[in-house]
Amino acid sequence: MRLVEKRLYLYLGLTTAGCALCILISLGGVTTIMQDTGILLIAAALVTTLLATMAFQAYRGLKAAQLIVDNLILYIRPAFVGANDVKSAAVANSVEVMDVVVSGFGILMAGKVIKFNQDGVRLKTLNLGKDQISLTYGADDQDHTARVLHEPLCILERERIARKFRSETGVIPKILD
Amino acid sequence: MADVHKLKLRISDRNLSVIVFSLFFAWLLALPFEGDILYGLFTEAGLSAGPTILAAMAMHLVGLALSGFFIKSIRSAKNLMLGSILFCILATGVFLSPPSFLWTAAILSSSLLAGSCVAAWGFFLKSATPTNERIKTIADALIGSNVTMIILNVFATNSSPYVGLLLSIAILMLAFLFALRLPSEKADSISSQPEGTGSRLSIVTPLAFLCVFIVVITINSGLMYQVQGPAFAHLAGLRSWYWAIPYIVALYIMRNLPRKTNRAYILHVAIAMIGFSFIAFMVMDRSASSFLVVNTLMLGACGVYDLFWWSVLGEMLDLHNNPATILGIGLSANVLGILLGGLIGSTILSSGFESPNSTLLALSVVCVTLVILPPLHRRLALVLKDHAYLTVLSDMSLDDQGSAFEQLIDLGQLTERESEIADLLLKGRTYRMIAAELYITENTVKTHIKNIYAKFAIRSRAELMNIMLTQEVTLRP
Repeated sequence: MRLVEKRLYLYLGLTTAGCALCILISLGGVTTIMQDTGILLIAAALVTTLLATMAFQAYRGLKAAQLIVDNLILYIRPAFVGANDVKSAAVANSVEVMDVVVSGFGILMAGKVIKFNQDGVRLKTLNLGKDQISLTYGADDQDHTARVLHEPLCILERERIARKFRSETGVIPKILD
Repeated sequence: MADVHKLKLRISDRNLSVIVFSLFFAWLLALPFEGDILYGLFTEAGLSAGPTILAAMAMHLVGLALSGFFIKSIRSAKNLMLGSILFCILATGVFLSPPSFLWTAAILSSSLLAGSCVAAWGFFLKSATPTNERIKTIADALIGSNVTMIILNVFATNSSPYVGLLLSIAILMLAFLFALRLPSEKADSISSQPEGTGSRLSIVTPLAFLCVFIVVITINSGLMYQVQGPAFAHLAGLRSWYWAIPYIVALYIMRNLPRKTNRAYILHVAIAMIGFSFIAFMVMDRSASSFLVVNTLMLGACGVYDLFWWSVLGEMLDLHNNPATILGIGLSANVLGILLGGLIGSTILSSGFESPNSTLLALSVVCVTLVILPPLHRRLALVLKDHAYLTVLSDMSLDDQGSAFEQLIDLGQLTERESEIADLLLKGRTYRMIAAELYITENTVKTHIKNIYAKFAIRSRAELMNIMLTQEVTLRP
């Protein structure tokens, strides 16, 4: 989630800088640097537009990530084993951003968002094993499969997860031994 | 040659009933019921038409209200219509003679019979048109009558009232010829209610509420006739053809709106139009452009409302043995409202302080209408579950809601969460309220609702409600 936020802020910052540059160029602030301000303005505007588009996509990604986190069904934290020193602490912090969140609306892992049950992408099948969860999703023609490993879960916990998925998505999960 | 003589124009019973009503009602609007022809005749004779017209409206009200007592079958309805049209032809012919007591007698007696004739039309509306089509039949009849009335008024105003009079006699003769072809026997038993007091009692309260509503909303029509109309009397030529145009346009639009449109919202817009019409009447001058503004707002709103309560009456015909009783009572409420508005308007005029007082009164009526509309809606929804203007879900009993909703879930294959959200959505909850009730975020609610709409290939709550009521849906592949 934080990775997604950072990405958004980065693009927003760059877009703002691009806008500022465009304004400076149009006000004649950089005529001393380049003679042909027209071309410079067009180039800056194009880059700014591109950055704005990426910022918008990052915003949409953040909204999707927020939706996944708000409807959390399974939260997986990667295991970390390390010594009690500065380097290990730094690595532990970076592992924190690789948390995996599984919900009825998708999977969020390490800043990457896999969406389903929205925007025409359906969750089709769900298999719950003892230490892995396998989801098949996609639009009508295409299917994708995501498999997430997690710590072993008891049968009660898997039944709880199955009930949640059934309620949210309508898909009846298969609980594997 | 023999084939030509044998050739008969085949018109369906529905179209026949629309034609007869259009022609007769056009005569009514152009002559006895505040008609331009009547005003023109009295003006040419140097007489005041006001008291006679008010008396004619009162007789018309009596004819409407009492019709149910002596029209008991479709045969008697047809006989009464034929007799009334013939009498009205004779009564109209009286106006070709010099003014005398016969004019008053003719106008009062023909108004009385005209009321019964209009109420009797209810038999043909019920027998010739299925329930959910009656809004279109009524719209066609009102459009036809107003178009014909415009033609009569244009001739009466721009040529001579006597030309209009002769044309109205011709219209009545045409109505008589078509009325001869109306059916005398009921084709199918359309009424779904058994005979007896049980069926009558079930619509008493909603009908009473509807009548109160009709009286209140049509007070503004009476004010319009008595206050706005005389103020623009100097624009007789423009008025003769433009006066009913916004009314006709509004009827046409409302008639052809898709079923899923939220017509209840349009009713509120129409109320606002009435208010703005009187405000414009107060602040603007009496020029042609001011007339166009005031008249468009007022008559446009009247078109929306008239079709509303006419169509509600039309659907209520199935809930009672005698259609003439239902139509007669409902339309007498309309005439009562116009009469009251006219009396109040003429009182205001005679006091000399016309514009602000009439506007204040009209705005008061608008406020009262807004207050009456929700309880009216609830009462009507109990008996008319599928009317185009009514959104009835929240007023259905819980059992009815439950069974309709279960069918909706089966149709759309909603998930458990989606069905919870759809249930609350159809009950009128906002997204925020749904989120609070289910302990989820508003964003989650919006996403689920998007999914629900996508499954039914719709875009709004009103469409979802329509699907639930009709159980007709096209799922996306």
